Amino acid sequence: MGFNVYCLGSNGRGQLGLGHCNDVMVAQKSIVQSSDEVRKVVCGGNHTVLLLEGSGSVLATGNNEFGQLVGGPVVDYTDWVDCNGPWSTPRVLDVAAGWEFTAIVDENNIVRSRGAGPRGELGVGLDTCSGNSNNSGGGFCTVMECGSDDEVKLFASFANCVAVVTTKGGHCTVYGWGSNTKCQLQTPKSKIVDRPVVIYETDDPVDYAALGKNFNVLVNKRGEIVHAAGNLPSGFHWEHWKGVPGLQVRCMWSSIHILDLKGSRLSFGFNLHGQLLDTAFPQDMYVTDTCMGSEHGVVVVKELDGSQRVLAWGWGEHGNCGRLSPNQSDSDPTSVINDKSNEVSPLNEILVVDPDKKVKVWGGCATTWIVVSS
Amino acid sequence: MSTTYDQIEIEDMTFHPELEMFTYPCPCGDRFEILLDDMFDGIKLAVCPSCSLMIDVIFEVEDLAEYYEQAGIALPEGIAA
Repeated sequence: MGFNVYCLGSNGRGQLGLGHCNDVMVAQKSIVQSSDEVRKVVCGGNHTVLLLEGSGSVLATGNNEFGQLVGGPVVDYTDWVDCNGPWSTPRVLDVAAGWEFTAIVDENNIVRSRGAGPRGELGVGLDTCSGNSNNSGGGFCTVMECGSDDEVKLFASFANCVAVVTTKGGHCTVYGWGSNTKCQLQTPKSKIVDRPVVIYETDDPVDYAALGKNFNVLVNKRGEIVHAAGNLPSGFHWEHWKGVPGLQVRCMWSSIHILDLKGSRLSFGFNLHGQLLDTAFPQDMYVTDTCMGSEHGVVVVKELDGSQRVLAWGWGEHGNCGRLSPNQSDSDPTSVINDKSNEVSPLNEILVVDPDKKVKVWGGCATTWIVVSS
Repeated sequence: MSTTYDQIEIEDMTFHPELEMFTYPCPCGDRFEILLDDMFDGIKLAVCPSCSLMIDVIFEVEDLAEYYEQAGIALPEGIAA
């Protein structure tokens, strides 16, 4: 096994890990790794954290102003940092990132957080910044300790973090913390929920949470939407989707995108920058992976001949949806710098991948991530 | 139809007393900015220094009093304390 990580888009604080801080609009190779697979790429406002499958190794780059990556005085990293050593955590089980914070599940099933959390994002009470101090937790605060047999999954966006905890017996408790000004966690509304609160409980395990800027949606293992709360995009009524299986739900900051079993795509929310995909997206495309950034989307489509293409659409001002010109050559290093020529992007090809490779995509704050495994 | 990215209530903005400025995260990774004094003068648009997006800030002039207090500066004429 081995993989290449490609990226493009916003890079003002080094969050692409390319060794510089220029926005790029042509996919660039950021990491080449000879073992493991990438399990997850998660993005904060200006930092990126990458979790490897198997080893539980973590690499991170970008803004470290509040210690959201590691301790120490470095404000911005423009190259990837190995985190397991500085974190005193040999194996990380899951990771999530929001605006200026990072949360992990460590090898002991303890949920820990670091960075800045002025809206309760760290989930540890009044502490709003783990700072750069090298305390006993390697700069982490302890949010909650889960049972050793529990399956714990983390999700985050903007000013909220959600932990889905499922026991071996199948009982599932979903915790949330962070901002609650739109009742995204609980009613009544409050400015801050600074410790985990139960936002949903069930014996029908939740598979994942899809988070927008001021709302969250929970989806069970059959692909049914079971809960939605907060300032939901207009036109989206989750009750309408109740009991419909096989859905894939993805969120930008201000929109919800639903792909159903038949391949239909429906989206709700802001569309000033072409974020909604139902209009521009040919229905006959076979999509193998979908992910949303803050205000853009990324898909992998497979053609009949097996060839694979990565496409992006939506708000592309930082180069995150590629360039529209057909020449995507990255041989000239100066031509990859973003020229802001693709501000509102139609569905646009950003990378072509060989048929025999496995491709996964992720999106951040105007950043696009493509992982190609051999 | 509005051409700003979003409408944000003042309670969702972060106030920086030392800068006498409010900020709010922009989807590009930078922050929308607006000065307290500009808001008192009736400006409602917060702009991002790194991209073309802007937001409308939703507030009443009376809401500003507590922020003048936080910044340790005198209330301008026209706001009831």
